[in-house]
Amino acid sequence: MPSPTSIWVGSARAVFTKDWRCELRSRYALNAIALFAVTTLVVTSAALGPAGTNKSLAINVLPAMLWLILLFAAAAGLPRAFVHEEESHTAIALRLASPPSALFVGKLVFGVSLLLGIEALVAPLYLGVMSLEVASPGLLVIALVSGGYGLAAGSVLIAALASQARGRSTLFSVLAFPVLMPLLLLAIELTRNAVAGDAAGPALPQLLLYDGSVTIAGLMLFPSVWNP
Amino acid sequence: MRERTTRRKGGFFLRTLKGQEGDTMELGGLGWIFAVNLIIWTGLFVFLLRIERRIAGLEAGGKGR
Amino acid sequence: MTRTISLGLRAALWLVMSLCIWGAFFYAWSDPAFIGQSSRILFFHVPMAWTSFVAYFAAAVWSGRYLWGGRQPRHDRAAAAAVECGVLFGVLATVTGALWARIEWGAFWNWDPRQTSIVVVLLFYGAYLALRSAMADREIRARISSVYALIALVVTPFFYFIVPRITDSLHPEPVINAERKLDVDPRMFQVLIASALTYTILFFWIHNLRARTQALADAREDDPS
Repeated sequence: MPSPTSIWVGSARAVFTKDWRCELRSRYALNAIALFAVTTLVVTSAALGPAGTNKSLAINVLPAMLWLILLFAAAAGLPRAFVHEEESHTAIALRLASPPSALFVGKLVFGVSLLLGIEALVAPLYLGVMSLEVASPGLLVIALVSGGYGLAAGSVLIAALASQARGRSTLFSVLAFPVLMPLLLLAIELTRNAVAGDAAGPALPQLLLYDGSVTIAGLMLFPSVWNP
Repeated sequence: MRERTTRRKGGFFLRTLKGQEGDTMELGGLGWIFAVNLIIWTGLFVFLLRIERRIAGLEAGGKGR
Repeated sequence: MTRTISLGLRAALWLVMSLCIWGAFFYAWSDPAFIGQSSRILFFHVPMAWTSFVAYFAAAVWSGRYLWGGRQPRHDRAAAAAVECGVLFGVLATVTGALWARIEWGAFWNWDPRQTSIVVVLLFYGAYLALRSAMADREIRARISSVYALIALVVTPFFYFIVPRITDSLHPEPVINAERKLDVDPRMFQVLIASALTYTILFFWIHNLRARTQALADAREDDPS
């Protein structure tokens, strides 16, 4: 007789696998995010040129632009995690099949892996196209991973909320922006430090704290969102 | 009454917005501003009282209008 | 009998607020570090901002009570009313703050920590109200918006750490902290505290009226007879 824990883990894993399988079949979110990110990159590069060669721009402006691109890419692709379930009426099956916390973790890991995959594509392209030299690449990776996690976690949680309402995609942006703003500010600051070669500073522990808080808040609140 | 030594354009509120106001005595006496504030507050207070009376009436069963 | 007490309490509120207004203009002195009498606007601005933060916190508390205190509709009504009243005080605080900033520093907006934090609160308020308007079913609306209010509460403290650092890098010159200067003078401090308390009581009165109105509207919707 399988233990409750292994059932729970199995559920979460099943949700994760199912979402990736659907995603790889349709490639809807991947396409949306990648297309959006690449388009923005092209426009940025065409408009600014290799702005990374300008030291002041490199430190002050380019980190912020990178995270804005990632923000909008996340908004383009991640809400689908829940909206799709509502629209194709598979949400009911999910409610029956899986405990809410397992469902949330499955969706969360899916969202994080999706976003980290996109970052792996976008970040090197961005650095190359904008000719941006990074003094501490290790810190940049840390910023991308911890910032990416927070971005995905926050987006998945808000997506769950927005999926219960009408006008879902516009509502997502309205709800997500204030929630994600601290994350973005922290990630931008950390990225700036990476580019300039400064120490990580207080931004790193605060960013990790944000990631932890959103995860815990999501685990505690998601059952109320999902179940009546 | 103090006399104004310079002539300025625009109404008082407009000047405040433009940052030209703020000198002590030019304000025409704090008493004037205090009186205006008091009137605004009293008006708000009476308004809230009337709303409360109306609500209490509806709660007590005067549901038909 | 209770009617008399209740009327007496309200009359007392009128009196106390009038005293605070009087205190703002005649009891406290105008801070000489600021232009003319302009520091007096802080006796209104600071309590309004304080009250909108109180409303924010109250909305989250009522949301929590709704979710985990038996899903009682009155808690949800109280949360929503708190947000609406919070918007009222928040907008007033922003406007008075911007006016004062214009007089003091020549610009309506500086993104200094205080201005930024009130904007953040207003953003969350706006998102909360937008969320509510997108759901017609009362129970779903109550549940989902309660969750959002709690998420907002979790996330907001991060702004208090972050924003001062960012504005430091944007504005290297020290921004005059008005409250700290005013605290030094006991009269100003007294008027500030008294006003803050009075505005909070006023908030709870207005909030009570709003929540009761919504209760009546809901009852009429349920039973139009």
